[in-house]
Amino acid sequence: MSNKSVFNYILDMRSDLNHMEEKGVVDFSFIQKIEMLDAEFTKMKQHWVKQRMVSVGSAFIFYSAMHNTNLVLSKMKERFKKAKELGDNPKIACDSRLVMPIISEVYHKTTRAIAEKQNLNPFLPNEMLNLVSTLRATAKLASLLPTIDEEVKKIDNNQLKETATELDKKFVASNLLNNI
Amino acid sequence: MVSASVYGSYKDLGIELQHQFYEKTVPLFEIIRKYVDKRIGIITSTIESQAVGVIASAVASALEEKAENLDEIELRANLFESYTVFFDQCLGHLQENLSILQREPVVSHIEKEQCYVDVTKMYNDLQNIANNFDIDNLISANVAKRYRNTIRHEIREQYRKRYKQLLKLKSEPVEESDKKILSEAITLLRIYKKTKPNIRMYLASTDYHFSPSDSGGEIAKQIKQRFQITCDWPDKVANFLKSDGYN
Repeated sequence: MSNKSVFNYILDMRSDLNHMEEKGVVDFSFIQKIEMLDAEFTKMKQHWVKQRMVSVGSAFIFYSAMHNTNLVLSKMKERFKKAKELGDNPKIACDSRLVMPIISEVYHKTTRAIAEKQNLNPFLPNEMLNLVSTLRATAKLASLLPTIDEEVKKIDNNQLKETATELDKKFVASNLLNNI
Repeated sequence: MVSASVYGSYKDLGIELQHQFYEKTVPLFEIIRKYVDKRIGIITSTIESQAVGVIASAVASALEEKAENLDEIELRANLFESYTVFFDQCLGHLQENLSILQREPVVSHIEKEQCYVDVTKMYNDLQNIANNFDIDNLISANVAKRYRNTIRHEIREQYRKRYKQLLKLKSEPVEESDKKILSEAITLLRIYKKTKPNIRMYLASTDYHFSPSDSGGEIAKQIKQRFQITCDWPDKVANFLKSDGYN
């Protein structure tokens, strides 16, 4: 899909959600649309892993935005699937309506960053950081954020342990400068 | 804020990450949470964005070291994924901590600029003292000649300990962002004093540019004298609040 069609696709999804909320009934064909959008964000996530034109730090912030969007969409999909049995109908549509505008903005900013390549606007990573915080906070309120246990399950334990050790070292090192 | 937000425990996996000063922040945040309706914990946007920046740059720099020479996409992807888990957790904790703090706008720019000049002057004065600080001269000035050689080592250590905070300025001068934070605190205190003349302000920090070492500190002393703000470690500030009645 081109960027423009993904953007339109998100707009269509938002109007689907409005419609579902108005009617008070969930349309299960929406699950497929979530999957399509999720795949687009996964592709973009890969882009930030591969790319070498901007610093790792900036790439990581965009990667993290894609990762978080994937998490929210996966929870959305899970809730849509179980909506009938859990009596989550049409609550899931109302909750999804809250996060879709943020997801749309995440997409918009990311496509801009990809287009800018090495001329990346230096303020854009920070804007994205704020946006991800908003996305996570809103998704949490709307029960659209997987728990940390659900998130960690999919990740290699050894890699996680190694990362924890590295970060621990990094925070200790940064503190030594200030420590007295 | 950073010390209070950097932690994550995944006991099932035997993984634990905790900022070395995290424990020191716990009592303070407990009090702030308990008295959230009293609005005793305040923050400005400068501190908030600095906290996010510190976490982001520490994570990015650790990742950069690992990812720079890693060409295999799958390995890079695994690396990015595991870093994002901790990063998101820390930002999540930061948000939780921010939610119990009162974000104060610093309204008067003129006032803030004047404060900034005063703060800069104080740090410049202290920097000059630190640069010219000569322990041997101090020993010569204060210790009788016949004792100097026998107790020189001991006295030197005593001075080093006593002036630790000041001497740190030699290797790590104050940063602009720290001066801005202190200026904002002074501006806010002046605003509060207009309606509550007896109000007390504490600045909780693990940064030596504000908080003293165990043996006291010249910088903290000067901030208190010049601007009536008590700077100290978060656990010490928690104790001050307890003696102010916030038990």
